[in-house]
Amino acid sequence: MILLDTGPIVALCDPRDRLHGVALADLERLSRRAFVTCAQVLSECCFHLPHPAQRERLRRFLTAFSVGAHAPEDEIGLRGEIFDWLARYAEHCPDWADAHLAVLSGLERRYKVWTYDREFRTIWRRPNGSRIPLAVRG
Amino acid sequence: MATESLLNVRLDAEDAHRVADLKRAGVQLSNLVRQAIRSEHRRRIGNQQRRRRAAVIMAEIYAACPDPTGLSKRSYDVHDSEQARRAIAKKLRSRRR
Repeated sequence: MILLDTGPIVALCDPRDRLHGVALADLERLSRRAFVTCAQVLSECCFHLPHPAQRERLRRFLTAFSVGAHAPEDEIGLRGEIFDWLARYAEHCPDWADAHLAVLSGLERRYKVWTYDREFRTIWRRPNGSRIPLAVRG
Repeated sequence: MATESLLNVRLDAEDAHRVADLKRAGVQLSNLVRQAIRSEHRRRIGNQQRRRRAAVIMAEIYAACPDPTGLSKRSYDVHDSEQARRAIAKKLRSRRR
């Protein structure tokens, strides 16, 4: 199960993005796996893809590759864990979406995060301190 | 009725000996060849088809929803978290005014 971050989605939906080619190659390699993402990531995607044509590509990408929506069983509890995680990494100014992915990675052991953010390799860890399994190399 | 084709393979002396050993061991060579062909086809061609599918799907999406002429390029790098954060903050500030 691949947990999608903002970067790969934006890169796929914007052919002018500097990582577009990399994202397409990664998609080809990963497309047999199940994809899932969360509302926070999609919110960021819409910020970076403001034009209606870009957002339509986003919608079609999500549909074509059956990208699931992560639905937490205990949303309030998850929120608390995300705030705890944000406090732990406060000196690095993490955003909510990164915190969400890091915490989900700890809760759902089968998830591998598909991201191009270097912080997932260098700084961010699961709530228990272990490395976040990644779907692609940096 | 399905058409069947015959495959002739030239063998050097060493491989011919191996074939004789396999026959003595009860291996049916025609099945062995069919299995090898299927396995190699899966490995080389099957994977290409799967990869092509993802690329084809994305190409269809780009063709159906092209960027309008004159759409300006993003002024920051999405993959640089500091730049992305500054861009979001800038937009939020401009909305408050």
